[in-house]
Amino acid sequence: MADLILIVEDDSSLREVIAMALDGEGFRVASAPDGPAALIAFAAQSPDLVLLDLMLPTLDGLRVCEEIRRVSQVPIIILTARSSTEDIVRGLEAGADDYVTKPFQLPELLARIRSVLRRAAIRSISPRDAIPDSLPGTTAPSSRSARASVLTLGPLVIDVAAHRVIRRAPQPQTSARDTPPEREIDLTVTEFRLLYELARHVGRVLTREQLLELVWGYSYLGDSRLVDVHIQRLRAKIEEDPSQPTLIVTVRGVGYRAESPPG
Amino acid sequence: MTPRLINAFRQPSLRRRLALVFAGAVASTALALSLSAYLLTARALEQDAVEKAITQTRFNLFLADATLPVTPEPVDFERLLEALAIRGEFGTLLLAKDGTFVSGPEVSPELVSPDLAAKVAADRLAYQTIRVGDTLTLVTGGRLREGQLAAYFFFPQDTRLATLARLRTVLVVTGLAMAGLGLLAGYAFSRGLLRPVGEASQAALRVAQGDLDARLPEGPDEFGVLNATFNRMAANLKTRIAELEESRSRERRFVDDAAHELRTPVAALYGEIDLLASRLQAATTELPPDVVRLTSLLATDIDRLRRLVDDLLEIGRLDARAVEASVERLHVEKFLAQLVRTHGWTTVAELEPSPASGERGQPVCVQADKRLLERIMVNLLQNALQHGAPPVTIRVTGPEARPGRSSGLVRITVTDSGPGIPVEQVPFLFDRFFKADPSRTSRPGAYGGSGLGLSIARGYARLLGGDLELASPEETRATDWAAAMDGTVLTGPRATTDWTASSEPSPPASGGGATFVLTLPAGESVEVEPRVNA
Repeated sequence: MADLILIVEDDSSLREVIAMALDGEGFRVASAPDGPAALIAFAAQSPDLVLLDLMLPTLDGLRVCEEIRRVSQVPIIILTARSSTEDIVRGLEAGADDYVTKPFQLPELLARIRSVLRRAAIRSISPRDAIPDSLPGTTAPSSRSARASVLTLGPLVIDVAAHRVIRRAPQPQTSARDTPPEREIDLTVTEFRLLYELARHVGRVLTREQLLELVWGYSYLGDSRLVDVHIQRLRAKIEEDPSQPTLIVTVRGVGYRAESPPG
Repeated sequence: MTPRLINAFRQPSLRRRLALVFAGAVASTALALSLSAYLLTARALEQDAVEKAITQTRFNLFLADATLPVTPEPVDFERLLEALAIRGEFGTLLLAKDGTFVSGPEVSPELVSPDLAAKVAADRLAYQTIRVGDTLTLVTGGRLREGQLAAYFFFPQDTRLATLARLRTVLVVTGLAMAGLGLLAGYAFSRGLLRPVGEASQAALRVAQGDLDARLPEGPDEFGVLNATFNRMAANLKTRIAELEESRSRERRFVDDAAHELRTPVAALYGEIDLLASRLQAATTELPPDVVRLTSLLATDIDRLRRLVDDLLEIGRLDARAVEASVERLHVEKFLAQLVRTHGWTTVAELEPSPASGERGQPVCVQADKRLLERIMVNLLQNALQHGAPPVTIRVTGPEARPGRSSGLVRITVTDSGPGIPVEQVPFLFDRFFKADPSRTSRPGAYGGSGLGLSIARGYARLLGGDLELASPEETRATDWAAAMDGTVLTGPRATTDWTASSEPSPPASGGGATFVLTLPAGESVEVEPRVNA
């Protein structure tokens, strides 16, 4: 069945024209004019993707985003009429996967939607995307790991096929009875894909541009804030101490690198 | 005094001047006191000495009169002299009327002045101060035996003079010490006196540095009144600036609100016309040509409206300083090559760094915000294609060192092959809503400019710490471009049909058309990043 997209936009013309365009592209469409209606529609219809205007009457788009994130990892794209950094970063921090600034062209919006939906689909993860190693000695493990359906990064087990991440208890002998030996970590599709790409290239630095291309599908002039905010959110979920990351480290002036600490 | 100290006092510091005045007052007081004390003491000592000498003389005369026989023999004189010499305080000279004399050592009749001799001859006790060798001596004289004999006594004044000399030394030393102390006291005093001045200048400096909360203690004296005025001024300034900030942030809020209000309907219009156009294209029934034409006009106008709204908002944001730049190091050549590709321009030559790329063959990098730089470049290139003529040449040179700055400047020039810009239009080129060629800007299908593009581009360039200017033809010709990249853009954007690809690539324009020079702060060159295989 076609993906269901929930459009949350207070401007009725824009809501309708987006709905028409998406319908024309074969998507199923639901829409809501304000925050409360959006939350009701979300609960009733469980859409595959939410298009969310940030400025809504009665309930702010940011709040709607946070509310949805409380219960679901569904892909969210925010629509914003403001191109100021603050607004976009706040939206991303609230849990959005991507953003589009108004006025946008329909093809651009459709491209963003497809990119996020693709991220959720396992088939898009293929060895073709692997970054070739410049060192011949390391080529073999890299290409093998690219095909593997389960990756590990420190205490994390990344099950690509099931789209799940599990944290193993660091030391099973000493672990107290009240901490479960395994714990599933809820990640959004974007966070999952980001973790997957970094883990797949463990020990290598990926630049923000490379991550934008691999995760968001931007081939040109992506917004590096997307990467930075999502790295922060990912760290908050997977790191023992997000302020002192050990799994995903920042390489200043270049990008990020996944590291598999011993043990 | 050491030269440094002298210099220090030569400087026109109020505090030093006050200290000097104070020291001067102390010194002159000390001098006056010392002088009068010295003179009084000297006179007292002199009177004392004279009195003592006269008393002694009277006694001597009485003794001589009493002891000498009526007709004294020379041996009597000798005896008298010996008796008088016992006291040892004076030398004695006995002078007879006939000129014979007896005297103690170092004493002789020549030492007696005629003046003194005359007074003594008049039966008077007289005295006079003379110099015997190096010694100041008080001479007293008196008559004996009805003028048959005159007796003179010589009192050396060594002791008195030595006392005076000691007194002088003590007074000079004391005076100097007082003057020095006065100087120090004056310095310390003036420090206290001038402290309010120092505080005021400190506070003024803080205000100049933007700290509008700097205040001074108020008080009843002149400084206190001055401080109160200062405080009022600072408070006033603070209020004014707060008002300005408030109005600026109000303006910024307005710009942001306007963005939302305008952008949403424009986004709707944009989507509507897009869908309408695609539906019309897919329509099976023949539509009246008017409808098709109107739809295309509508599309163009909506596009113009969108651009105008965007540009207006952007100008507003630039004015309100609300445009944020996230500056990063960009590899210029790679960036431009990608930009040209993405916007569908075709190039004569591959946009690859030439071997002469940059210094030491390293890639040329700038410090810039990607999106701002993209907008500047797209604006310049569209401008060149629209108002000038293809081919358009992009050149990158630098970095050139800037005096006094750590980072150099990179120049990106865009030259078209058009007729150039008329001289009379050059001064207005960067003005808002200035259109160099009104007849061509609204040509359907072309990038209809809002007339704000170049102002925005220049605003961005300056925000990034660079500038955007039109090069004069002379400059263009004269500059020896060490071209790092020399790509020629041949055709127009793919979205329009106005531009047709020229079949024969022309050589890059050299000074024929208009040349815009964009300067940007250079970034450190880095090794080329590993590329993603797309």
